[in-house]
Amino acid sequence: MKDISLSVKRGEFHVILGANGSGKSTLLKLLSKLLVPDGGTVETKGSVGIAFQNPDDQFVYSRLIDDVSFGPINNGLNPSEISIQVKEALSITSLLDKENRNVDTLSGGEKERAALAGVLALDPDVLILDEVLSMQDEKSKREYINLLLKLKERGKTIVLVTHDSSEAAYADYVHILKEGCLIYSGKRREALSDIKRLKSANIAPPKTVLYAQALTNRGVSFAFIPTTVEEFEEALCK
Amino acid sequence: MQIDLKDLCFGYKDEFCLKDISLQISQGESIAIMGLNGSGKTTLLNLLAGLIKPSSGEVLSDGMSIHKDKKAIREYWAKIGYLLQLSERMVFSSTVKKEIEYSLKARNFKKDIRQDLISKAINLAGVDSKHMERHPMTLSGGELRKVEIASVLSYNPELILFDEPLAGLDLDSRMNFYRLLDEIKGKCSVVMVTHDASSALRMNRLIVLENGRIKYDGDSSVILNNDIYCEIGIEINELISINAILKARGIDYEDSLREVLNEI
Repeated sequence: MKDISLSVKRGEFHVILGANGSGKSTLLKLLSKLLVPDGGTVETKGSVGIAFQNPDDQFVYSRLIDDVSFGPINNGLNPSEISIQVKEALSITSLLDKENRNVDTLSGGEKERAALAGVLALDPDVLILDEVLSMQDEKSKREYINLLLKLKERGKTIVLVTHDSSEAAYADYVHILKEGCLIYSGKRREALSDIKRLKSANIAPPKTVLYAQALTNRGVSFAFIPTTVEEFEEALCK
Repeated sequence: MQIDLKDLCFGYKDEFCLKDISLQISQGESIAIMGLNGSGKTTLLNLLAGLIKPSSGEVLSDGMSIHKDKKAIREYWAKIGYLLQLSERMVFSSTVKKEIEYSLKARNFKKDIRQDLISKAINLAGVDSKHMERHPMTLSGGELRKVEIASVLSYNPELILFDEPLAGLDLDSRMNFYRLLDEIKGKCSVVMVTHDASSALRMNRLIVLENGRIKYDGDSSVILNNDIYCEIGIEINELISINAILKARGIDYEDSLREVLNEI
């Protein structure tokens, strides 16, 4: 990592986009203070919760409710508080009806939400998420993103690390990493609509953006470059 | 090699993951398997690989049951390659070269021909030859996936099974994988589990699973036809929504869609 400067404000949703080996996970570890930088400083206000790339890496109990309770129990909360926070975490991740299931019997999408529930049970101010959607079908992906948006509404700060530009479509800000350097930091739409820059960082541009470009080349006009389906409809000129 | 699945069922206890699966895979065919999480895709690959036995029904290779006896399954295993989901988490050896050589040794290839097969495999998979003496775990995820692909390709299997080979890979690695698919097309049969319409379109045939049953089995170009694609219900895909918007506005989209899917 070289000369990285970025700031994430309370209640914002940031995505760090980068190809394999670009330094995404290193940046994430620096942000969450699992690594100490050789130069420079990382300052965080508030508590931080991290969800790792593979949900299986962070389950400690086999029964879902035990696993989600693990964090608050270790933080020494009293039983009634624990019960409230655990129920809340399971409820927002839509897993309340599965609280007695063995985590191994959950589907991939459910496991990822279960791992997030374990983090949410600690009620952290900042959520740091590492490639938490890499093997999900589009439906689970959409559900997970909606869940993140719901958490953002409740005031959580979210930093999601991914190589998949479509996961950045609902973020406020996007940072593009290339070979350990930030080549772009700014608003989501500008970040995702620049096909050339994304490709130079070895990132596949969102299908929506490519689709709009392919249609533009065939004479269809757009008011602006759409990065989501909702924007696509809005941008398509009558 | 021709593979026949006959009335295949598979379940844990009395819960069925796969039910009444019958299909034929001809030599040189390329098949994409799609379906939601939990629809039985990986279980189907495990059955095809002979790693698990069906609860009922049969897997036939050139007419003979692969589970007939120990010899039959061993001969079958020598002819197939299987790239597991997140294969890079299952590294066996201390160098890249040994990791690729492992699958050759396990199949009793003589030392003098192993080197040649390794060279061919790393070329095909796009592994950088300067990595050969590195420890696999020091490579990036994308590079390591290529090493695992090389290890599967090294012994020229007649059937290759890929489980989500592109999950977590960046653009260059994807493009490299597509080139590889073009190279092996027709030379061996390929069955690939994927969530990705771009990869599925590169296969000839598409099988869609839903709750353990085959919901669609046919030409993969249906991915370009929104009505059928929607009805198959593979996934709630942003492309389906966009196609519907374009259709409602009377804009012809098929060429553009094909271009998008070919690009990534």
